[in-house]
Amino acid sequence: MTSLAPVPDAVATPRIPWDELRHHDGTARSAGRTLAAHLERVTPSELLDRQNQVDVEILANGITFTVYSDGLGIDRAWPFDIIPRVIDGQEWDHVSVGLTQRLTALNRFIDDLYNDQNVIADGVFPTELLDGSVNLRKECMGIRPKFGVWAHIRGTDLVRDVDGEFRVLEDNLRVPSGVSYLLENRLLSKRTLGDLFRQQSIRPVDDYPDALLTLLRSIAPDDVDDPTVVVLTPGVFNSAYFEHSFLARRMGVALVEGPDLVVRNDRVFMRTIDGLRPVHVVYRRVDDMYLDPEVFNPDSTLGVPGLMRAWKAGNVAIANAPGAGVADDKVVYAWVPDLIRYYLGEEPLLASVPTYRCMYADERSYVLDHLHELVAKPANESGGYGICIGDRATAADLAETRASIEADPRNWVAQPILALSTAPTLCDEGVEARHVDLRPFILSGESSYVTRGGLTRVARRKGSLIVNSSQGGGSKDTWVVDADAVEATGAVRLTNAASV
Amino acid sequence: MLLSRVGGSLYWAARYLERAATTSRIVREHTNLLIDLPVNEPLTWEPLLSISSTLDEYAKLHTAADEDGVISWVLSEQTNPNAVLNTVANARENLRSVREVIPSALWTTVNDLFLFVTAHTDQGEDRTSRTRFLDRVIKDVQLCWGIVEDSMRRDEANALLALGRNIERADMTTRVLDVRAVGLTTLGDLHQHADLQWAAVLRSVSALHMYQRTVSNAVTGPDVVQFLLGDESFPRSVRHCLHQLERITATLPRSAQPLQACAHARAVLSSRWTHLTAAEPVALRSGLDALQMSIGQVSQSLVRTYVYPDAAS
Repeated sequence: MTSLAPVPDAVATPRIPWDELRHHDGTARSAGRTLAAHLERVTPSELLDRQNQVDVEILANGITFTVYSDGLGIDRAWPFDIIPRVIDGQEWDHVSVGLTQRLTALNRFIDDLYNDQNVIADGVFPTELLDGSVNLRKECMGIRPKFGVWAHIRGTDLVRDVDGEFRVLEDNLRVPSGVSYLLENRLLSKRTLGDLFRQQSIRPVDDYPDALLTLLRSIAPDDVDDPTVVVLTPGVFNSAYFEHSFLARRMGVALVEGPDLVVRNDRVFMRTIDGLRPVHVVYRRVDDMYLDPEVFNPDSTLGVPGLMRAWKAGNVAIANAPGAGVADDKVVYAWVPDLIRYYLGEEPLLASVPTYRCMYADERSYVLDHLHELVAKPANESGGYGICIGDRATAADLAETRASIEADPRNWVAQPILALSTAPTLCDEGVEARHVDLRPFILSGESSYVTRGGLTRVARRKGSLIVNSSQGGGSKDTWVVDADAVEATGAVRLTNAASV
Repeated sequence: MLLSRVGGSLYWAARYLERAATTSRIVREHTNLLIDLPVNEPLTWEPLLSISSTLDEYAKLHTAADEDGVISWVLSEQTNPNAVLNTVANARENLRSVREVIPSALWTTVNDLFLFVTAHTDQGEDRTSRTRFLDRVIKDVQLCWGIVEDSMRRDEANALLALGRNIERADMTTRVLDVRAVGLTTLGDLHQHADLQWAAVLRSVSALHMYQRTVSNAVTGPDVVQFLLGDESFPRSVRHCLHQLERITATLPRSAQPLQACAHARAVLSSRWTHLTAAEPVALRSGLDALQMSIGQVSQSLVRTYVYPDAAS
């Protein structure tokens, strides 16, 4: 393993963030010309009127997410900014291939870990990392899911650095959410900015539920002709319940809770008004530890006793497979470029964020010396917990993080503080630049699928990097625009008109 | 193929929606009637409490059954599960957990109604805006049934909604009769303004016009009772509801027990018919009690069979 050569200069020099719509000189990027021209035409009050209309629609349609406060779940209206974020079509094609490449390698890695462990025998991945992983499920050893795929659905977080390069921030292989909002955002923006869809070629996003259903049906046990697919939700109080319901509805499959399912003779059934009916594929939105009280957390009422037995016996497919989270670990993240080279013999097409691994003495001492200018992350927390952003942390935070790293170096990594790209956003002060990230969704089964663009999340406070909706972040529709298709569309219309 | 849990949510959502609409109609017609009647008439706001069987709970919190107290109790009191606000909230909560099986317009209509009643309960409490508030609830529930009729396959989910709607209608019609008809029958038809009051009874289950077209005679007590219990084709008559329940249940799997309960309820209606229509308060009350109990048994049987079936069967 080669250690990262620390590049303190690149970190220390603050630079202007990349803007998604315009060049630094204020001219629009080619894919964003139509939107930029539109924004110059409309007044802030017109924009505000449209924003208010959309907010009413969101409330009336019950597009919500749940936040927890004092132990109570409160249904909040989905925060949506009407100004879309634009990505160039050709650039997106390149990113899509990189995302698929990455997921393919990660699936090969997971399958290898639970079976032959060649990656460890060949000295590419250190065995001590595997021993310390909280997401490794010993119960999954020796299992080979169909097509060798464990992580069927991934919601990768991408950020764009100051040079405009997309970088993978997190892989999210467990139960990633957000895709329903991606689709709802498109519906909302078609209503608000419908005219702009006629003036340029924006790639549609609405085929995701079909692609997901096709994937889920494809992983059913081989002896089933017409498989029954269900979505397993923790229930109406889960923060992503809206999405679980949305996906079940758009796929036309049953949305089940743990108690709706029962296992008999290693086969899964659901309780219907006509008695028990067989289930062949479970798209679970329940974490591993709550999936089956026989094997994991015995107190879980969200799961299904016996589900793991049925899965091991090959009578039911589970997506994502139990144990897939082993590759969703902020320390494993640092090895992904090596894993791509090892399994696929290819160079990674999509950049990562340089990551210092505290388990190695030289990288650790660099991290401890530069904690104030790095983001330190614990390996297995999600939702931003435990993260220490060096330039904003107090002296006490830094001291605490330093102590945690020294106590448990295996479970810490650190990365340079990124200046996330910005996009024009409607704020109280008018239209202003706010930081954004991007979460595309990638499907993997017999074949692969990548959403066109993804869910753009936006920090609503000036300068803030916090895009999580649970912490006040907003969202935008994401337009993948084929810039040179505009003229072509016009030409087709003329030909049609002439032939009538 | 319908999950039992989902079936249960649909059944209860339909009951709550129908209860919200019927309660709104009853309040609307009672308000109109009290405005109409001379101030010395012995009619009070108390029947609104009796119809929803919440007289005792109300008495724990209030000393008098005056307009302000009763109206806010039946429309918006948090602790009254049958308050319009709570029935709409319960309908919404049930539908929220089954959005994947219902037309999306049904959900948005109920959600919109919920947002409306939550924001505007004061309009329902104020006499000058009350009718408009109640009309909105009634019309939105009608819109819901229209959406179901218009855009939903006649599948099991549809059947569970229809069962809930018909059970609730049969139940509410017998409740209205139990409270209002028994009282009016005691006073007798010669009582001044009896016709106004019987007309209000019909209106509170939106039956006045259909009654007039069918009976084509002045409104009298025995005719009203006969119409609301026994008319073959009026959607809120008990006979019609029982017939619908039987017809819909027969389309579902494992229907032997609920069908038996339906048959029993129909038998009660026939065997008690002379008591029910004798224009004699004691006989009417005991007949209605037996009928209500048999309707309750149909509901229990439906819930036992479809919502909490034995997993092994």
